[in-house]
Amino acid sequence: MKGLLWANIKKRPTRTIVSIFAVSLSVIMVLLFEGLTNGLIKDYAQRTKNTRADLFFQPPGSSLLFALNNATMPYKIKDKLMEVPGIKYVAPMIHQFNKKNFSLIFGIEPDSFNKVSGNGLIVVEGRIFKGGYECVVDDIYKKSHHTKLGDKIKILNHYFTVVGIFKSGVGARILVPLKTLQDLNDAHNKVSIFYIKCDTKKDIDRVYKYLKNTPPFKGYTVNKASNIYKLMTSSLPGLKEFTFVLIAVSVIISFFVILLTMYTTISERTREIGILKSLGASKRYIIFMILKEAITLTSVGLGLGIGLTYSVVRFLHKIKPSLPIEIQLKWIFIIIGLALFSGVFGSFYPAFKAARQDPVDALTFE
Amino acid sequence: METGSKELSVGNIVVVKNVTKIYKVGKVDTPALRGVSLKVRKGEFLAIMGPSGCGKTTLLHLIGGLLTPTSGRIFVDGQDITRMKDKERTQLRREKIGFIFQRYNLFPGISVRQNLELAKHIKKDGRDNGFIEEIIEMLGLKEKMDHKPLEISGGEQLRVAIARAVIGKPSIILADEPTGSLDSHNSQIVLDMLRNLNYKFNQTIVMITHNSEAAAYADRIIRMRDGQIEKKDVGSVFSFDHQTLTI
Ligand SMILES: Nc1ncnc2c1ncn2[C@@H]1O[C@H](COP(=O)(O)OP(=O)(O)OP(=O)(O)O)[C@@H](O)[C@H]1O
Ligand SMILES: [Mg+2]
Repeated sequence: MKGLLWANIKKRPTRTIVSIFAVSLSVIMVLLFEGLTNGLIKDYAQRTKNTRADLFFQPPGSSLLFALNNATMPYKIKDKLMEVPGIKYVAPMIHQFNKKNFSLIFGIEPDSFNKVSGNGLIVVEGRIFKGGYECVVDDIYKKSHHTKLGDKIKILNHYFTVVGIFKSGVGARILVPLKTLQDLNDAHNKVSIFYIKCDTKKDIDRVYKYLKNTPPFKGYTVNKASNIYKLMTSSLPGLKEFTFVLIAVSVIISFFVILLTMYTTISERTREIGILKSLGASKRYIIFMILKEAITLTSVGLGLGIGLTYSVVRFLHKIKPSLPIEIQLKWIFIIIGLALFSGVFGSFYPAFKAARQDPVDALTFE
Repeated sequence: METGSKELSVGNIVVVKNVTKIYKVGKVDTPALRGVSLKVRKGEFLAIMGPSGCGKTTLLHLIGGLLTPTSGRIFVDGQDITRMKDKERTQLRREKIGFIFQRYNLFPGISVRQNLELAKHIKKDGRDNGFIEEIIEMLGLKEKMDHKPLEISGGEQLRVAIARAVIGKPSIILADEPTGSLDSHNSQIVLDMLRNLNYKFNQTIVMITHNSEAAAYADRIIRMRDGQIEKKDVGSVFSFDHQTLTI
């Protein structure tokens, strides 16, 4: 009966609104987090792919995303790699994580980087750095930071002068000379990663296997660019665990909010439930009535949560275009399932309690 | 214990046999009924009178299957409801019983129409819209259908409660002091309607009242005192003529 359902939902507007907002908050929390991690990873994966490298060669035990401040490989491995049949170019690099604004900085040699990327580094303004404390940033960085040529950017407590703007989509948003980054890290002649370009696509597998199994490369970490998205998702430390905890918190919030809401509503409605029973409403009828109400609240909360999430995303894109948020459709379905699950289970106890209630107690209750 | 098949066969829709009811509240036992026997014929309009606390409501709730007796048996339409499972009693209420409560117990948040539709929905009475229209017409509720219960008068609220009670075409209507809070003019209007329903649809009515004017509408009156039916009426309980007793 829709009439009674709406009457009951409308009867306590504050409680209804609060519980709807609580459910929507738990939805927003999960969706935004997912959107952000997914967006960051995807964006980084895409940019890494755009370098057109085929393989990534790293020190033993490294992970691709956090190949950071891990400049422990001798630069001269480059020469040994170049000798491997099937390898065309090798670009030695340092991936540096800039804690200050949560971004990546690559230390590169423009020459070798351009070879691997097939001249993928396109400077649209100014020039590429020549060395020292010079850097180039991409157009998105420029847009979101309002950077002009000649500006100074602080990296590892040193000021770098922006000498050029390059077209975004190649690895990091800030590129600096490899040599400078080595010096700043006290890692002279050391690098953290080699980008490898193979002769042909067909060589990739063979070279990959060769590097994995043949000394002196054996033991180093080798990854294929084609795997990069999956690799990153699985290698981000604690991502799975954190996601799980976040989902659990979200489910628990919705569960308790619905439990409390439905519990208080049925204790206010003993008379109503008694009347329904006197009319011949079965236990099932009462249970479904409570469940329907809970599902209605949860659904409204869900809809609101999803809607608000997209509004927040739009807002974030506006104020910070470089922030890559991308909510996967899959997660919309997951959150719908999770919220409904919480709503239904949260209302189970109140629903059964209501169904078990003695009709006479309720009717004589003044 | 014999089930009284003879009594059932002669058209008694309700047979109450030696029923006691003791309420237990904590460690205190309150005996509300102490051995009540009663028969109600099909189509009869019975009034129950008696002082406050004598057990009238308890008896009504027992007949309607909202309560179970401490001892004794109750037959409704030939079925022993004291042996029924909760689920079966619910079904009995749904199909055979219509309650009218003293405080009407309408749902205040929804319109008269929605109140009636809700009852229809629970009674799963999808078959007969004509019947409902007829009832609404008969009770003069046509103009009030879209009002909320608190927007109409007490007499009208009672008529809605009556409409709701008869919607599933129950064989028995159990009314607990329906006119208790109405003036005598309005009481008469509503009691006339009840009486009409009783004639027209041959519905059995058991009505509790404190008011002898109201009781006068009934075919028969029984009086209760201290959880028992007063002796002098016991004879009439077992008689079959439609003699109307008034004080
Ligand atoms: N749920 C209950 N728990 C405990 N005692 C109860 C309960 N309901 C009724 N009683 C007691 O049982 C006795 C009979 O109550 P009942 O409500 O049947 O009387 P009544 O004849 O309907 O009275 P009234 O005319 O005031 O409505 C009273 O003493 C009452 O206090
Ligand atoms: Mg009473």
